[in-house]
Amino acid sequence: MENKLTFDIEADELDIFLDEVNEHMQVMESGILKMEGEIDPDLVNSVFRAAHTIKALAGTVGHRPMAELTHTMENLFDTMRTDHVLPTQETIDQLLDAVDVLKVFRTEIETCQASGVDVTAILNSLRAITDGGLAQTGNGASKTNAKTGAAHLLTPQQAAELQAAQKEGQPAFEVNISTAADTFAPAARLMQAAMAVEEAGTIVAQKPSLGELANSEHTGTLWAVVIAPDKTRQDIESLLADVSDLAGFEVQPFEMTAPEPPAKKSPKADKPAKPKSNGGPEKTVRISVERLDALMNLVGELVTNRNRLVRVEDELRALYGKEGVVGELNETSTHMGRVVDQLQEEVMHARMLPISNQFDKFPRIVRDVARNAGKQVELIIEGGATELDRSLIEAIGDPLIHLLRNAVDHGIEPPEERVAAGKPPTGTVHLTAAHVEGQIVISITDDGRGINPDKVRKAAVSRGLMTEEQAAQLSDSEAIDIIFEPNLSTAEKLTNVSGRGVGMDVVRTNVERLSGAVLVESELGKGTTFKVTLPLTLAIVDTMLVQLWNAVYAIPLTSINDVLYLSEVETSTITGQPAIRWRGTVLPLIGLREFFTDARLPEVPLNGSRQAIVSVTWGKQKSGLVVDKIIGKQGIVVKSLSPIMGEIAGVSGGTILGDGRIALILDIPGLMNAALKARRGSLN
Amino acid sequence: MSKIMVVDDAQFMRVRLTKLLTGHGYDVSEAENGEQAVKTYRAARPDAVLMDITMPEKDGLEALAEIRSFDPGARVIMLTALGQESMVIQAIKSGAKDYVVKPFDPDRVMIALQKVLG
Repeated sequence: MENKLTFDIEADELDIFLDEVNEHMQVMESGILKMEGEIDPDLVNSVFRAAHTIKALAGTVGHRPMAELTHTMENLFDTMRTDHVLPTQETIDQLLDAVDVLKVFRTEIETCQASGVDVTAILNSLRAITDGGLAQTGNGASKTNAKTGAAHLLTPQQAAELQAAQKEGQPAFEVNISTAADTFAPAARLMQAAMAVEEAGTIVAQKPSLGELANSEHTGTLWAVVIAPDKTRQDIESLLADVSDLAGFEVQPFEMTAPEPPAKKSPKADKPAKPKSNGGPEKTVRISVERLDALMNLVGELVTNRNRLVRVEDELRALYGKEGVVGELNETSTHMGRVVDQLQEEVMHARMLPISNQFDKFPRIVRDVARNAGKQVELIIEGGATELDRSLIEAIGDPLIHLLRNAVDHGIEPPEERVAAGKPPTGTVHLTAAHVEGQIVISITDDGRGINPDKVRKAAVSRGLMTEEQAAQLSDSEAIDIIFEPNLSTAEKLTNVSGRGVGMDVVRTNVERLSGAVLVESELGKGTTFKVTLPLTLAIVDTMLVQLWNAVYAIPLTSINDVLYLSEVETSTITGQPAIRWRGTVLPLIGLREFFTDARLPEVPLNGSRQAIVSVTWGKQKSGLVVDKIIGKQGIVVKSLSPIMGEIAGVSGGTILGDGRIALILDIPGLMNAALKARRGSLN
Repeated sequence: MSKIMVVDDAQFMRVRLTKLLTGHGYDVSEAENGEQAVKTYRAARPDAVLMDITMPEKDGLEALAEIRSFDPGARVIMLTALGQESMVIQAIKSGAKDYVVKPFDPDRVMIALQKVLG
């Protein structure tokens, strides 16, 4: 049922519109999720504003159902902030459903295709919740006056306490107090005031608390709700009159809607600044990703030409010496080189985003997966401010979601099982991101049941990946690594046995496509950690240039451990494979001449060039790549190979060098994998 | 006739306050440190106390706590100087009824006293 929709939006506005809608929906979603555990008036205000903004955006482009839905949500949020009462679990579920519908609407605007989603049901239930809240207000159950209420919320316990008191006919009062300007020790005055109120009865809720006052945390105002049997408003007022230096105070019966009090300073001002989140008032300009990509490409060209300039200058110096014009050229090219470096850095940073852009979506996902699986899971996120290239952020989302789902689905045990194992019923999943040595390391750690290496061994044998003997020879850590093998994952039945393995090969492939690596460590009964390592950017890579035959290859520096000359070490053969002993371990060698051999290539003698070994790492494996010659270190601009060439094993892309030659960039994971397979093949 | 105890290590302050209070018809006793204040309080049982915070022997906060331990109904007004905010908060928490900032305005001292005396 195809149904074309039209919206009042130009093509060049669409990206901005979508970006903004996404941002505000993210604010709403994470805000709604946080309402489950915590009362924060700022939070309610922020989701209210987000709903309000989306309403305006939707209205402007003419998406009426979207505007209507956000309007209804806005009303509900407004009721929440005036009623002081936390939403119930059901309300939160409804609100999350509403956000999901908004996502569908957003896609409608993006694609102009009607989704056929019916908004009536969700509208009705949201309205019912809102009306229910208002009806409750009419009963005077848990309502204070609207304006001051915006700044304070009651916890469900406090609301219940008040309701109970009200049932017994005990009057409750809401008290608002402010100290005079220039008061000495205003916290002490507010404390006196709080104690005066306490004399009248029992304080149910108070902001700031006595503890906060003792630390002088306040904004010159005090809000309290007190249950005061046999007391009148005048009684409390006369108690407060005895406190000096008060600019004013108001005592109102709690159940009645009072006249609007004078505008008060928001308590927000006193709070320490929260870490930057979505939608903060920053001075920014929105710029399309395409434009950034174009900019990065241009910088890449500059880097190439800079390298070229250095080369030309070298030649000129050889011919004419370094005096005069050549000296000037040297100065200029050095300076230009520095500027280009800085430019490159700046553009790289412009492309960086905090990884919270992805992380913010995860609490919802984890919550949903946990609910469906009947698990109790707490997700702890750290390092959301860690920045990386936005193309990487987008690309890493799916693999991370996969790992998180697996951690909840297969890692964390059901509550009963956890309790039986002596663990708390609620499992923990730690998601952290950090910069480590010029790379990003994202780790996902669960305290679940862990991966049983024996079960993985059995699975690998039954899938025909290896013989029983081969499996038995594997160390536990090698056995666990098998979960990344493609053939293991296809077996549906195995997921229950191994507890892991659904699409793990896809995760590894995707991460490696981003020049990253994924590692797993697991301890049976204790839990599992997945560690994803990524480069900061994909556009420009620091590499080691090496020569092979007459061609130049580039090896990314991030995978290199050491470089040594072949003549300095003793080569031996271990299990039919050339290897050297290096730093206490056996380093298997991969001869790149043999690897890239082709009958069409002319035979080029080594000519006495010093053959070298570049020791590289991929995951837990190390290998030594034997090359003809080391050329040197260089930052290169990565160009993808033309699709005409297809996939070349061991090569991930190309680059243009300063002298105009082309260098191929080695794909270390691919190379090592292929070599490993060749070795296994020859062994079998 | 209400009995008031004035506690301050500076004689000048005690003289000032005593003059002010007797002028308003109060019966005044004096103490020059916390230690003495506790003893005098036990003996004289004043209706209200005006007490400095910073004093030798035993400071105002300690004396306040001790006095309130044997007379929870004690009505103590602290005399404080600017910059002693945290001590004032401490005093209020420990049960001081009010505080007056030095150098004090005689009217404010009298208002504070009348308030605690009800």
